[in-house]
Parts: sequence; C-alpha cells; structure tokens
Amino acid sequence: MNKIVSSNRFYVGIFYSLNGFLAIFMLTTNNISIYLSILLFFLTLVIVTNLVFGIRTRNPWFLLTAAHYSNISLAILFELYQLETAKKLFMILFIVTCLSLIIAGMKKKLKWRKYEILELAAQSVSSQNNGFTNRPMVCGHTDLPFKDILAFWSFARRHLLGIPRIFPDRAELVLTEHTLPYLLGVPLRYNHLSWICITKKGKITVYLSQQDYARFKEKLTFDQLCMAICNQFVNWIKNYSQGSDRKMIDQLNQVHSIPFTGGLIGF
Amino acid sequence: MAKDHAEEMLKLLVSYHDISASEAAMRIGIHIKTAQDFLENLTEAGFLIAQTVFEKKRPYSRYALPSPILSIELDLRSLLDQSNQIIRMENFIRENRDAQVHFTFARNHQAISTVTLWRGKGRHRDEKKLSLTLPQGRFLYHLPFPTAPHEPVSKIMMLAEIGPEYQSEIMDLLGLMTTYHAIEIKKEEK
Repeated sequence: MNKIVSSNRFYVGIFYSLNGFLAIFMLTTNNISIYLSILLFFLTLVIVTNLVFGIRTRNPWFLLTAAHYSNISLAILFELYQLETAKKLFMILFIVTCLSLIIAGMKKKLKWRKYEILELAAQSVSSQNNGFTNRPMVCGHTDLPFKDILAFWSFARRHLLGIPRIFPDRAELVLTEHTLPYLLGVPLRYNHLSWICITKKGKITVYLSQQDYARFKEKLTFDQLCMAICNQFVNWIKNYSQGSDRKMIDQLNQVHSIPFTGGLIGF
Repeated sequence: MAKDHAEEMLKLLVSYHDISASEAAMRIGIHIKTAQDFLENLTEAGFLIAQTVFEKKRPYSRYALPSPILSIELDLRSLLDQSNQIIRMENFIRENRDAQVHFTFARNHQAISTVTLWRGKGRHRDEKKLSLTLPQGRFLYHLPFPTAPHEPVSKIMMLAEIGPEYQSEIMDLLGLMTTYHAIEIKKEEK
C-alpha cells in the first residue's frame, strides 16, 4: 500500500471527457460559432503551455500534446469556415495523435514523477517520529563528478523527475508536478516546492517542503525521509553514470500510481 | 560623566586639593544631593579618593583626584561571559521538536537568512524575528533536525565551515533561541 496521498488534480477522466466532447462538437455543431471561438482561445493557451513545457523539459511528448490540440484547434477553425475536406483530414490526424497520447500516457511518458520519488523514498523509512522542520537538510557528501550530476539532472528533466536549476557552484533539481507558474518560468519564491541540491564540492542538501510532507499518510521520521531521498538520488546518479538508467525508470514505473498528472492537457 | 554639570565638577576637582559635596554644590549652584551622587559615583568607579573627616563629630567625605589624567579601559569580554552562560561549545544540541520557529532560507539555498521565533499562546504570544549574519545562517543550516542525534556546537561549526572568530555571535543566537525553546540541549552524550 502506498505511503503517500496522490494529489493529481487532473485525472485521466478529464482527458477523455475533454477529447470526447471536442470530437462530438466537431461532428455535430452547426451554429455555435461563439462557443467554438472561446474554445479555440482556451485551446491556444493549452498549446502554448505545452510548447513551453516541451522547451523547458526537453520532453518531446509535450510537443505531441501540442500537436494534438493544434489538430483540434484547426479542425474547429475549419468548421467555423465550413471547409469539409480539411475537417476530415484533421479528424484522422486527431485520432492518430489521440491514440499516440493514450499510449504515451499509459507508459507514464507525460507524468511528473514527484509522487513516485517520494513514495520510493518513503518505502525505506519505517519509523514514525515526525520531527518536521522547514529547513533544508545537509545529508552528506558525494565524490561523484559534477559533470555526471549535470548529465543526470538533464536526464531527470527529460523524464519529468523535476526541473533542474544550474548555478556556477551548485546544481538543484526542483521536484515539481503541475505548478503552472513555475513551469512557465514566472519568477516567484516557490517555498512549497521540494528540491535536492548538490554543490561542486559534493555537498548534498535535501529540502522537503511542508506541503509535500503533509501528503504522507504517516508522520514518517523527517530526517530519515530526507536521507532516503538523498540516498535514492545518489544511487540513481551512480547507476546513470554507469549506463543503467533504465533500472531507475523501471523502479519508478513499479510504483502504483495514476499514469497522468495532467500533463496531457497542459497543467 | 555625561551630566551637564560634569565639566564644572571636574574643573573643581582639578583645581582643588580636595573638596566636599556641599562645597562643590554651592560653588556650582546645584543641589547638594546631585553633587554628592556625582562624586560618589566617580569614587565607586575608582577615579576619586574619598576621605572621611569629622566636623563637630559629624562625619562627611572629602573627595580628591589622585591624578589629573584619567585613562579609561573597558573590558567588554565581561559582558560576553555573562550573556553566554546558556550554551557552551561542548554542549550537544539540536532543534527542539516542538519549537515554534520558522526559517527562511537565503536565495542561494545555502544558508538561513531569517528566523522567526514564537513563545507563549494567545494574547501573550511573543514573536521575535531575527535577520542573521552569514555565519549564523550557515550554522542554523547545519543544525541537527529535531529527530536527528544531538551534535556538539563545535562540530556543527566545523561542518558549517565557520571559524572560531564567529563563536560569540553563534553563541548569542543560540542563547536567544534557547530562551524561545527552539534549541534542545543535551548536556552529556550517552
């Protein structure tokens, strides 16, 4: 049984409902041009959001999502201008991209992995002693080369483990899910986001935010939990530098969780 | 020394071989009690010599300046010794589990920049917000968690790469945090 509560705001049902409604609209609508125009506006926002996500994460699946919604938008546009032949073409493209996205979703290609990361860390902690404090924990040192850490952070970004922040003296990985302003690069103070930081000298610091700690069903001993996150990442970086990155993804996939975080609709 | 009449009183002390409080008071035109307090305070501080003399069996003091040059040396370390009695370098400490404390970390995520402490409840709740120096911020960054084993102050300073020249400011912070129950001290490691 999982030790952490899922906080997915956008369940898979939303994805299917949205696409189902849009498909029905494409086939049946006649005099609802105003409604379609509004829908078109929101779809454009979703497309832009997905493009930004794609650029920030280097994850190509976001581009597929953007393409999918572009298809729908264009189909609506052609519907508004009564272009029947183009509508059929985009209907076919819609089905193709929709199926591709379902497959990608099932393989968790569009899932932010914070839930799995915290769940895996929690599995190695048995004591329940609470002890929360809103400070980062210095977990120790590693002698891993800094370039290996940077390479892993890049890999982590592509596989949606988090968003890296690289500085001259340190590299951080911010564990995020669907924090829209953060993912769009709005410069705010994101104290509710957890992170792991490794300096050039090899000092490892883990910060687990109160919001994330509150998601655990049991009050797991806080310092042990931070240490477990640290050990998990050190092992992953070691495995990655030895070329066995698949092992890590398999480990994450084994955690029982909903395959989508809402990435399919953009947030 | 900062009183309005101090300069005139010191002029009298330099001019006269010795002088009584009533003589000085009448000479300057101040109350005798004011003059007496001033002279007694200087005597207590060791700048004057007081000699008790008798006039018709009634004793009174005459004050004399032993040297016309006064040099002042203040040892401020004595202040430090008084305020640092709560925590010592060899004490094992960690953050208190039930501490009412909030830390804000610096933008570089490598130190704590401010700490807010609370104590009491309801209307009697007392809040203290501290802006930390960099060594203090680095120290708190390395302070053991409430569930982690206690560590000696000296070791935490070493981990935080803080030199001994910052010891007193660390002790000042820890002393204050202890009064707000934010630090748990373990006297001896078992």
